[in-house]
Amino acid sequence: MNPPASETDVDARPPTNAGHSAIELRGVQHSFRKFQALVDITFDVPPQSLHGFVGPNGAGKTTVLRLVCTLLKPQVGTIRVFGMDIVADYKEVRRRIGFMPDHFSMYRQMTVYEYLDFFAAAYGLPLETRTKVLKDVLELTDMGAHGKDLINGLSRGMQQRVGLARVLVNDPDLLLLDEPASGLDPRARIELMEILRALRGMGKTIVISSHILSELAELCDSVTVIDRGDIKYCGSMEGLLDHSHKYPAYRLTPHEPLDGLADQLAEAPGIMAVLPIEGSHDVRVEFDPDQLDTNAVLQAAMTLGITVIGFSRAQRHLNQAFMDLTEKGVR
Amino acid sequence: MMLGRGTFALVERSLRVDTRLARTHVVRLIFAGVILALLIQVHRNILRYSTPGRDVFEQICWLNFFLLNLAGMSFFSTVITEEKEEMTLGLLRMAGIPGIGILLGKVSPRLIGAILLLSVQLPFTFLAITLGGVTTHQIFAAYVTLLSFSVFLAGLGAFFSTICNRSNLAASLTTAVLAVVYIGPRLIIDATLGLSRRKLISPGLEYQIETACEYAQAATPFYALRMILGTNYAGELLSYQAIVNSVAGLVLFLLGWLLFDACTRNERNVAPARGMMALLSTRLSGANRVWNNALAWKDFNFLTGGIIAVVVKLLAYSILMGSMSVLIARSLKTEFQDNIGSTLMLSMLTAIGVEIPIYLSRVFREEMRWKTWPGLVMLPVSTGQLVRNKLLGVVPTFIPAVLVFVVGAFLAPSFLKDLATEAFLGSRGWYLMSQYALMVQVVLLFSVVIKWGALPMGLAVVIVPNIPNLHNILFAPNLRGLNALVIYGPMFIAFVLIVVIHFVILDQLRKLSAL
Repeated sequence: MNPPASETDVDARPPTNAGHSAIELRGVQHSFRKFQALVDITFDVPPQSLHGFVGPNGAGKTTVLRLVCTLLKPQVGTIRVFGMDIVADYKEVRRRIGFMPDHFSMYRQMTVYEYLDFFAAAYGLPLETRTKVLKDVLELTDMGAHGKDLINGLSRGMQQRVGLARVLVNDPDLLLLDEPASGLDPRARIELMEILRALRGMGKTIVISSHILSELAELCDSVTVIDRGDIKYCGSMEGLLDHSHKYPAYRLTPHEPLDGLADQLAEAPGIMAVLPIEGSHDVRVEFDPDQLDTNAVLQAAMTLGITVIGFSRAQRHLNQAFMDLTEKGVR
Repeated sequence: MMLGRGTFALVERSLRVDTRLARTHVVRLIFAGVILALLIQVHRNILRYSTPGRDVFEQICWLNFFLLNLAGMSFFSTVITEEKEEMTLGLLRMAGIPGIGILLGKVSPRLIGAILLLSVQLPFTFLAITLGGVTTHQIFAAYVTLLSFSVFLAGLGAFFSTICNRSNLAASLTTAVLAVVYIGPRLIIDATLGLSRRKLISPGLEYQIETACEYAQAATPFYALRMILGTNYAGELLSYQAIVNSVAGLVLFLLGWLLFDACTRNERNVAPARGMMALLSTRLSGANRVWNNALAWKDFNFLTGGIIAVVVKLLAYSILMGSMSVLIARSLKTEFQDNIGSTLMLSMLTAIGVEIPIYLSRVFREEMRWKTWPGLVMLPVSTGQLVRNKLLGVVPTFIPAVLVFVVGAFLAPSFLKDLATEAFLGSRGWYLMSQYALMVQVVLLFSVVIKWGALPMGLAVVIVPNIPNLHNILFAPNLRGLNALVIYGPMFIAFVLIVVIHFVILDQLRKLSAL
């Protein structure tokens, strides 16, 4: 956002990426009475990234987000946001983050402008700065024409935009969005994703919890998969899609069915496996990268007389990766 | 058969849930305990009373009457509006439960709860007979009066909560009707008398109006209780009041049923009210902005009604107090300035005293109700600061009362001095202030702990155990004869409780932010 919350705030803030992760969880455990919501959570979110946070219902996503945004205190372990402890420095942490919960409740009796002005003032922004910031956030969320409308009269998509505008008024470095696209129609969802891309372009770190995996795959640089209160994966999106494979895998599309040639290809040095892909003539070729590179794999196939019409990296779809990493059933 | 099952399904479920709740039994136990305490207190000081049994029974009756009125304004008047606000009424309809089933299912458990609360006292009140001054007939007649009044309140609540969309409106209308029932006939009689003196109405019409008003007065539980608690009451057990109240309750319930479908057909998205801010012709844009203390701005405007409410209140107080001053000036030949001044001061102190718990019961309740509290907790301030800023927002609403009080102080400076002396230099003043502060603190606590009824619960919890003490302290000609423990003991306990409750409230608010 331009300009930031206020001149004085900017000076007082430590730099966003001064060698710290945006979020750093170490050995975090949390229980609600006898229910262990988080078992032993450790993961990092790199600064200025768009990080997906996925998991089945009841996995602990919302608990993690509520812990990070200081609404809950960790019972065991530590959580740091831009290097600041969320318990000791909770006020500063709150200044640096914007949290949009899944069930966003708003002061629906207010107008859009009153609502945003209220939060801007509550964050301590002086009047002149507020005017500028409100203009910017309304423009960014495309709500400029609705400033005088009562929030109660807005559609869900518009209320979602107002919710997003609200978390932006204090110009946070870290945005935590819990299911921001739930209940939105396809257009509103696509537009929301556009806004998130724009925000990433402004250098913000965005953690987005969602069940819409296809959108996350397209949008996010990195991802954390959580299931039953435990982290199953944390890293780059690309890494997740390759995660279960020991060797690099490529999809080979022959001109004609391979029949016996598949077995011959599998016996070639450095080729670890050639597996048929259901519903097509294609095969999945896995190879040892220490012995071969992709050119050598192609060369081996052509040497056997296979006419190759397609050769591309074989990645799991995020849905498949999610299913592989998480357990069946809900808790 | 199916109709019957659908109709009584909710009743059965509500009663079962209610029976399983420990809270239900604890409240009844506490109530019985309070009555026992009243009896013991009167028994210990039996020499002070000429008719101890009747005195203690009178206290119990008026306490029940007071609590039933409070229940009518909150407990009974929100039975259906709660479902409307939660948007669950449609689901009940879709489950095939007919309108009468929903009404019965929601109203009868509350009515039964009130009846059981009255019934649990009965064995203890018989002890009053042994103390002397009251008969079994009087006890039964008083409880029949209270039970029929409960039926009336349940019917009234069912009716208003059916036709209103919001709990606040239903509660306000119920309160207004109760006020009309209590003071309406008296006002009409006075007005008729005035008109008759000026020969504006015929004596025949005057007689008819007066007779009708007397019948209306006799139908109030207030009048009936006064009659029953008089000496040598030998009236009917099922009195005129009991019949009228029961029939009126039933008629109102049936009216609610008749209107149920029409009033609940379209489910509305219930949102918090904009209140008097809606009267502002221009919504905030560039000219009018949020104060730097945003929380105070929000509560001032959206909880107390903002500047418009302040102006309206100032006008209302001015007109009311002005009229009262004219009446006093006309009726008194001398010292009327002092009398006007003291009346203004006492009236405004009462107004502030009533307004404070009303607003405080809503400051956090509204945030909980609309689930907006976590959004505030995310602000970079401590919970304590949040609480202070929110409370600051309520302060400007007392400006009209304070201004009228100041006018009163100018008119009667000597009374102000007496008032200050009584409040700050005498132990009676400190005692009353400590109990009031405790009551306010308890109301605040209940507002963050229970879903509804923080105000009546707070009043009941603090005032009920205090009745014997209040009676002694307020009506004793001087406090020298009273045991120091009677005054300083409760004061000390109140101060300790206020501090403890303060931390409990803060802790509860922190917990609520995580939900």
